[in-house]
Amino acid sequence: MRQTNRFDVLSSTSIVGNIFTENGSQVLKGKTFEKLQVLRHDLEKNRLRRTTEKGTDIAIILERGSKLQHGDILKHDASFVVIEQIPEKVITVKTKEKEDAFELLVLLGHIIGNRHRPISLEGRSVTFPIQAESELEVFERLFAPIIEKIEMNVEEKIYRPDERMNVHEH
Amino acid sequence: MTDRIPRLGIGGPVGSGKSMLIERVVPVLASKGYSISIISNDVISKEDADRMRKNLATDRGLLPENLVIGIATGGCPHTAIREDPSINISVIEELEEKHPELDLIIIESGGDNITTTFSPSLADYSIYIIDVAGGDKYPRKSGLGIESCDLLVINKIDLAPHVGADLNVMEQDAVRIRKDKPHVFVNCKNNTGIDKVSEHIVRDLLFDSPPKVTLSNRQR
Repeated sequence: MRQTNRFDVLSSTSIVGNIFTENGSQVLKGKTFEKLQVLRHDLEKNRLRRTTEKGTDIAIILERGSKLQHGDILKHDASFVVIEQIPEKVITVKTKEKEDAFELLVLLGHIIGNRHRPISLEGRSVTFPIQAESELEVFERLFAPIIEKIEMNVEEKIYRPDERMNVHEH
Repeated sequence: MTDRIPRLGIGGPVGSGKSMLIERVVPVLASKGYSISIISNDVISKEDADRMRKNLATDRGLLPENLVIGIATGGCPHTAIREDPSINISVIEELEEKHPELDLIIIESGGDNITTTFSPSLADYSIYIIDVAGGDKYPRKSGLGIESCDLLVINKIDLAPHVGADLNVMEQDAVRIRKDKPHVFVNCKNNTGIDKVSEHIVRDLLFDSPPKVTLSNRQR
């Protein structure tokens, strides 16, 4: 049963582009579309049933290995849905020294890894998600042995973890 | 490659009623014709799997005995459903190959804290179950399991007056913490709320699909 009158089932082949690519903005040119807001956690899923901001009930079944991304455009018949990832709170840690001691980097990685967080790396900084601002305090305590050598800040953003760190696939 | 069979993850603290919930929901889904397999994770014992096999398979014949599988994780069960779900995934892939007729695979984990979550590569839909006896502060305390699961089930509501838990407080906190994500109050002992849980599974995980093998096919 691929489709009923009550809702649409979309699959991997329904992904026709991404609004952040040149191609994608062409796809949507002059078209109206609905937004489907999802959490980062939901982007990892193969099956998902959600409601768009306009109240359209959508079920998505993706093939193995296929994943939704922020900005993906889904097409069904003549209508379009754009996936919008919900921003979340993250901590970014930057090391102060130009030449970091091996020990500092190992400890930093160990502490974050021990808390099972995904990470993303940019330049000399590492970013990982938190659940609430109160976790800043937790991490300040965990980072106590190296706190003098790092800078930490919290922000809310659309977070994309480094795929190389994905331990969930095998 | 075989089709991926929809997978339901059920997590929650020890004693919250995970196995009991499965024992209540499976008969409802089986009566609608769905074919189900159950995988139960525990640290060293396979007690839960043995009990569910006896109650659901041996005694009631709702599913074949060999489709209730116990996995002894040998370590924290929550790592076998999140950080490294490879044991579970290999069991599931074998099931998908040998039993393509299945409509649903249920993965139970003895989660040991409120941060238990299922890796999305393992479970397509997750239920986190807590019980009233832990006090009405439970939903408010949040934690990744309570916050991020697809359906929050609050069990043993009959105990509320005995432990001084206010269900209204739990309701309000659940709505606040989980925003628009659903929760259901249940009492597994007398089946209160079990239909609602089953409806969520059929709608949000099975997408209202009919069973792959209909009863008339099965009898042939």
